[in-house]
Amino acid sequence: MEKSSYIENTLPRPVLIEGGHDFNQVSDIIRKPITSTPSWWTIVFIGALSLLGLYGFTVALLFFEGVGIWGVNHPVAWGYAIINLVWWVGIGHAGTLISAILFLCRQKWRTSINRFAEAMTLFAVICALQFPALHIGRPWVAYFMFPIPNQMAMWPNFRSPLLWDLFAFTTYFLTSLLFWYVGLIPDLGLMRDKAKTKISKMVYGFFALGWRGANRHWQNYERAYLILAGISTPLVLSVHSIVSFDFAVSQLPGWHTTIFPPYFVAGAIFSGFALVITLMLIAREVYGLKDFVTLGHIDAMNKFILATGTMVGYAYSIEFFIAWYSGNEYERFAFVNRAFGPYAWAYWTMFSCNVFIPQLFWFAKMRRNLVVTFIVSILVNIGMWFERFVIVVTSLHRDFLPANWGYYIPTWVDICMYIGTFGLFFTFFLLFLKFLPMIAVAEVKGVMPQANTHH
Amino acid sequence: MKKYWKSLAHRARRKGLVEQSKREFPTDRFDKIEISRRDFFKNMGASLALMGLSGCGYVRKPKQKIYPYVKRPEFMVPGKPTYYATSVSIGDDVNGVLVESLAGRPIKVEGNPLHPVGQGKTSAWQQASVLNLYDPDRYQRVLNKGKESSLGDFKRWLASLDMGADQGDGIGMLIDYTPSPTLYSQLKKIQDRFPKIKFYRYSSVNNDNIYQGVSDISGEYAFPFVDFTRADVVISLDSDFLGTDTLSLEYNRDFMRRRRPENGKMNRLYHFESSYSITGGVADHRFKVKRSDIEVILYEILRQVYQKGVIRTDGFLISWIEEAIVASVSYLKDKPAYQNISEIVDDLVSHSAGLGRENGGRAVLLAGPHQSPLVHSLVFYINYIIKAPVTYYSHPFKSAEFPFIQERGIDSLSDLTRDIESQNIKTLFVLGGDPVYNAPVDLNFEGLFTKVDTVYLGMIPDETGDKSSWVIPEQHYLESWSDLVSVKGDLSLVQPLINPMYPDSLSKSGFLSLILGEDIGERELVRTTHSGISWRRSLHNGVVKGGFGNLQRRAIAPYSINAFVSRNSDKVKRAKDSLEVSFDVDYSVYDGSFINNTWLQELPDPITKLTWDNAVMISHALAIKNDLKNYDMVEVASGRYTLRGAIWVVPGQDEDTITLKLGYGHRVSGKIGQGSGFNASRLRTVSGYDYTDKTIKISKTGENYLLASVQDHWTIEDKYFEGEESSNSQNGRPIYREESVDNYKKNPRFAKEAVEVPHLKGYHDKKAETFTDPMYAENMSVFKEVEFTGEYQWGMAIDLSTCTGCNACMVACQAENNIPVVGKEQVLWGREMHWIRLDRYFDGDTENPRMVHQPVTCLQCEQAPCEQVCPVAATVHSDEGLNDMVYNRCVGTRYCSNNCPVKVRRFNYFDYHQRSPHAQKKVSSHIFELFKEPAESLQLQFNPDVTVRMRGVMEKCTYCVQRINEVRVVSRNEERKIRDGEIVTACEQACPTGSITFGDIKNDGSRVTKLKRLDRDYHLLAELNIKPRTSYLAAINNPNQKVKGS
Repeated sequence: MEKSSYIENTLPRPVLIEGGHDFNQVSDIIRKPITSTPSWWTIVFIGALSLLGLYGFTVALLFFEGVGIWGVNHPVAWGYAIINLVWWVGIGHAGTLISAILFLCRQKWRTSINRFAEAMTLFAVICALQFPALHIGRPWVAYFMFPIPNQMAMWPNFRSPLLWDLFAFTTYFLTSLLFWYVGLIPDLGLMRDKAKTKISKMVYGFFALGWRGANRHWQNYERAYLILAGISTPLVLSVHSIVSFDFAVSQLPGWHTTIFPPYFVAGAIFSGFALVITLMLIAREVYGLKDFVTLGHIDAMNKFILATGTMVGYAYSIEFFIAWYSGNEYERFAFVNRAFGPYAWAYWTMFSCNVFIPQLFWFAKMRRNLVVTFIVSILVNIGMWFERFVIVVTSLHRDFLPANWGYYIPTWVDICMYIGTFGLFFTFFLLFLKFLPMIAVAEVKGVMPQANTHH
Repeated sequence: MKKYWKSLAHRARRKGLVEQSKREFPTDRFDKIEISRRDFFKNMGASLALMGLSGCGYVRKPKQKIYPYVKRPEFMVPGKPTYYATSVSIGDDVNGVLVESLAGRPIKVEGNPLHPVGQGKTSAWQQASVLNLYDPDRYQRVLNKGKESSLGDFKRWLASLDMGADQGDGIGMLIDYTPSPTLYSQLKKIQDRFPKIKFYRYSSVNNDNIYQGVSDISGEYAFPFVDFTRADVVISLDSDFLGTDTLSLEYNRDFMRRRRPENGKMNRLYHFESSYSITGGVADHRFKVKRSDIEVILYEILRQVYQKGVIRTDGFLISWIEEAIVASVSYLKDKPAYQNISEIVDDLVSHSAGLGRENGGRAVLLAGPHQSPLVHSLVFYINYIIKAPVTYYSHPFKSAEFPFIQERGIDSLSDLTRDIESQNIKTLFVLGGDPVYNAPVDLNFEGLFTKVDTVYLGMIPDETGDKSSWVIPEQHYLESWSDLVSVKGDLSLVQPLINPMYPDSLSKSGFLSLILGEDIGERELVRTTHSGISWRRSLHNGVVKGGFGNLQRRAIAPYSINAFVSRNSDKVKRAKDSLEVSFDVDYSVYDGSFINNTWLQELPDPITKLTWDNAVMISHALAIKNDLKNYDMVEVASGRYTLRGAIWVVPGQDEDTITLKLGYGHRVSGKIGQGSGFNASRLRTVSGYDYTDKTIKISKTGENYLLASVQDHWTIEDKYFEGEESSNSQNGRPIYREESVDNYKKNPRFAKEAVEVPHLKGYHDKKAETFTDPMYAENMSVFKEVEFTGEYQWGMAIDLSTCTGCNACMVACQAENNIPVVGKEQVLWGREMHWIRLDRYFDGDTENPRMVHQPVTCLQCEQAPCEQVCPVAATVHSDEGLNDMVYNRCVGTRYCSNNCPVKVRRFNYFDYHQRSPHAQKKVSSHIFELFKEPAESLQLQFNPDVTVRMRGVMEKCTYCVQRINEVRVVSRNEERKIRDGEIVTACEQACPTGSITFGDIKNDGSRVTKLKRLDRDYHLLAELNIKPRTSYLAAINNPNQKVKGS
């Protein structure tokens, strides 16, 4: 009796996994999409593949004709390609944040979403990585950008932020991949053990690296995971900081801003969480994972959106203040032109989606309303895409000499290529859903009450 | 046997060395390579496999054979250009040029410093003329009724004509005026041989009104030449003397000599015009007024000159025009042009000379070729009484021999139509000019033209060729022998630089020889015409100053004014309130003869910045009144004639004037000219030739037509830019800096002080040993600044005071640097490639703004923002301060362009040479046959010293680095330093006003250093710490404080 009164008198541990499943049930529920593929998967996969085909076609066209098939011009030399790059990289921030930073902060609720978010990160970064090679005029010499010793005795220019980007991206991609893969190992062991066919047993077995669930394995695994989490944490902050240097280091009014690194990181987390929510809401619905991804999870992620959205809003406002306070007429004009010039529509789309709309999440009711959450999550990503549009295009289209001013209009290729990257993303993502457990089974088990029987 | 030793060392260590020296490779490095048999075969296998791969993957170059000269032609060093003097005429305007020839191909036109008109300078048209030679659309074969024929067939037809039988009766000859003495001696011969042959002449752009006006009042068929070096006050009545008028090159040079405040007293220009011209942009006071009203303005000027009573004026004349002035006052009185006449006349009179001092006046009036003969007569009269610095030159060809020379072209053409109608003419020879296209619409020339047998000598497909029975391909001036004489009587020779590209082609002289049945080469013809000159020297120099006899008429005085007035009694005009259409020469295509020239088609108009089209140019007020905006397709009706065209609203346009540029809207042309613009001739009539006010209506058709402007941001509708802070299109930014001469004297450093730049040290503070930028001494950059250790430090100064915006530099740059033309669609996307551009800004209200031009090219910043952001170091600095662009290294991130504050970098979004309508399938046989290349003939024009850039690379101005290096080689061979002025960039070479100066800024005595030391020298965007090597000299103007509202 004494014991139970003690429990009653303390705060209850938050219930992270609902439904009262046992370990076996958990394994089965999470593996269900893999063992019995739903019929809609094929249909959606065909859709994704056709978008990928569209992407392939636009890339082929691009290689054959040149970047002139885009709407980029003089003075707006960067367009959709760079916008998409920054957008996708931004999205690719949530996964690592959830996996690494929340892991280090011992936020156990992360276990239900981390695998999913990490996979999303990885595929988003793959989409982003398309663009550094695609957006250049001569993609066949893209290797010039790598520090490869060569007969021309040429070396890249380490002063260029584009080069920093390249290192930042590849580091981030490789670390994220490694992190994701290490996290997958216990589950791959599970998949191997439960596999029905010989081939799948072999493949899962190969990637499971001989996982037997031994104590020693767990020790090594957890240490490796911790170390990788430690390595990834600064990367979450650095990658988008470095992406922001592409703009901040240049001297274009509207780009040349010291606030960019934190502002970009906040924006990246903002958009990453939004896409996790979008995808998660669909997945938990269609795969029946409501016990794993509970309203509590949604609520927590919405708080992130509110927090980062407000940071972004603060950044937007302080940019204006600084533009006025600096007394620099070019700077001042760039910002006035953003809000009231020819691209005002883009600016206000951005501002409403990113700043006004997330304010709904001050209310718990809204945070826990799935329809509202879903709509807001999509609007946030639209807003974040426009943020990059506003930064890239409106700064470039009217700069120092009024004689250069122009206007940027995307072509159908720009739009198709952007849509095409969704094909790339979803092809990977659907394959992930088909072959790998979308929730970290081992980790989820670890946060279930059964795992903590000692009290 | 003796044992010889090779060296002391050999002797000492002979033992081991003997063995070693016998080996093929003396070092033993090769022995140390340990490679097993297996490894060797592995490597060999891999190598073979890679060889195979390389065969598939790489583009195999098409087979081409190169043969060396067995016997080298004289002066020809492969890779080294030779220059030949020749000359070119555009209308009446003749200029001597030096043409650069490489391996037998003329590739670039430069001015001939010996020719008195250009003195080494050229116009944009002359620069672009070389491209016409290689135009793949040229007539290449003789055509008979549109079908391919041969010169032999034509000769047979000519023989069957049997012209001699009835002394050439029924035969007419229509000539596009070319001032060639040889041509006229041949015409004389034809006239002698076939006395009944009839001559006509017609040029759509001409000086007929000027000659006629001077002749009406003085009896001399002469051309007025204004000596601007002696003119303090210039009143220009619709005369674009810095732009399209005859002798504009000379005028540019002379006039601009007086626009530099360093040269002493500045001149002052009052300019009246209906639509902005580049002369209007330079003017201190520009008044917009209808073309027809300018005549009344002139009456008023004359009346006030009389009233001021300073100079003796014929009262009879005044009473004659007074009535017209009085009748016009109610309409004119609100116009600043009219209100300020008193001040202008004060200025004029105070600069006139007293009695007895011939040409001693320091004020001058001049009128444009679109003004009526009466205006020119009155201008002659005023210039006479104020003793203006004007000299007159008789027409080079005597009217006694050819009465048709002194007939206005428009009258001559009217005669021809009458003669065709009355069947006096049955066969018509047309020597150039495209009259079917540009004849006034009311002559119905096209209909009559097809009624007779016609032979047309033309170069580029056009309407006349299309309607002619016979078309003979005309030779380009770089393919033929001829001679030309300028309006001032300077003889220049035309010599070919290349064999005719098409064997059937004939020059005008060759064609006349054919008619005469003579078989003398044109070279001999020219030589015999000028037997008196030293042939070799003249050919070398290209010009014989005054070689056509002295045409100058010292003192010509007006006839009896009474007689003049009675002859012109019905010609006095009154200003009235009505819409008017005026026709202007186009800055790009001239009268249409350059319509198929890609360089000129893509050359932005200096005022509208339009490429590839002309437009129906109207004022903002008229646009609002008729609810029109840019791109609206409208129908302009004048009487029963109509024209459809697209609207372009032009600031500074007169409210009641619709301006149409000539030369566009060809129904038949080459692949470039076809379908570009609207044919202004559709509204041009015999009576309304220069302007027409016959019931003008303008109405919307509801359609749209896209016009491609390279600077379309300046939309008048944009409210943001109408704020009080920024009433000019520079948005209130200190980009183009200008000041009146009085204020400049008060504060000579105004240009430098326009922007506060921290930590500046003066030019003279620097030590001479290590070169640092003149304006900055302190390192403000986070990066280590480049040290410029080169022997020379290149720099440029651009004088905004003298730049007119005439575009000559743009074409010169394009020709020199193989800059591709992108086409109208790509211009609309904003991807034009010009390395040097002319930024045009307006200042003031939309109805009557000032217009300025600023040439902008790569500033060669010492702290170049582009260099820092390039990930592959494709743009780097040379130790001589050039911002070099390494095309091979460029991957095309375009980051440099984004970071360039002046946006002078140009990106090859496509391979524009492949996309040109003139491209052809690549001549080769591999899988890349899909690829195209420039037409074979156009490939000949490329400058081999400059890389032809491929798609996906960035390019920009290099300060003509190929020219720098060419001179460097010469100077090193001669073991000396490069002299100042020895390197001339293409833009500097062409610039008619000498606004661009290039040189070594390390050299204290160089021209560019001297200019950079001037107080009005300033750096564009200096506050960004970019340290540009190109600096600007602020524009100084000389307004009259008393004049208001201009």
